[in-house]
Amino acid sequence: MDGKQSRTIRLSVNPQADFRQVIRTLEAIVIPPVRVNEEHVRFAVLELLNNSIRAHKEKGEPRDISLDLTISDGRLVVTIRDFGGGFDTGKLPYSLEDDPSQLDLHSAAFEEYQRRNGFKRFGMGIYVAKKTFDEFRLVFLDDRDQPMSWRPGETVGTLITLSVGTRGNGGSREAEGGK
Amino acid sequence: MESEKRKDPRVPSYAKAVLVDRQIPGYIRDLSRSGCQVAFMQQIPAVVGDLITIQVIAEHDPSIVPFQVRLRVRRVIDDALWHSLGTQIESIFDPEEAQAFDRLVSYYSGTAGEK
Repeated sequence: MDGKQSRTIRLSVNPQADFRQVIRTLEAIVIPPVRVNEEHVRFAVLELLNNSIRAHKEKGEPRDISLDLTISDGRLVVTIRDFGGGFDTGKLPYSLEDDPSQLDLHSAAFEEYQRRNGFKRFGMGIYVAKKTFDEFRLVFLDDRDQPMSWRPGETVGTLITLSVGTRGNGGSREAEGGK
Repeated sequence: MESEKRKDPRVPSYAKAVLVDRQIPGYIRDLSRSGCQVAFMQQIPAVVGDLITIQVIAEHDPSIVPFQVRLRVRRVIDDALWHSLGTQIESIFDPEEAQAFDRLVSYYSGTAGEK
């Protein structure tokens, strides 16, 4: 990679797929060296995929979830696009705009959320992604793939875009900040 | 790699785990017949030799009901993001829970009912 090439791996994940196959497929992908451990990158992606799969199952949505991993300009860019109907961000135990480094995982909001969901949901998927990647963007989409505010019954899906700089390409915020 | 020296190879997994006495959420990210790695996003007051109890929630195999397991901490691996405990199974509270852990290992090892 010289920072100018762009390469993409695209996976289509059937919501009824055996989750072990999802794990194994992600394990088989060689993640380029980035500023965090590659295993953490895989896990953050897996956690978001898990949320998408759950949303598809709850909604009875048969379409595939798409996962793209792209190397471009010295960055690893991951996009996850689902048709799970989005979700009410107001029900998360934090605001999407919050700086993850300032979040208190012991907060009453987190504990209440986890207890309310019988610890089957931790409310941490987005938090883990924001901690792992330099950049995080979440957009809800309508039936024409246009961005929209979340509205129950109208929002069709979610597009999440994550990116992190690859090591040695000067693409990370950390590397840029150190110059 | 250290994992290659293990008698029981560890396989990647995804199961939720709650540290029982403090209700701290974490994840089992790999496991074997003899132990597992439990990763938390926050500091865990545990050192090598400690005994911890976790509640395991295996959402991808509905036949495995949530169960508790006691683990002996063998390694503490901290980095900027995760606080991970490499653990060995100490004992399991009852036969049903032993079976549940076995099913969890079999499930992620691919030896149980693969679709």
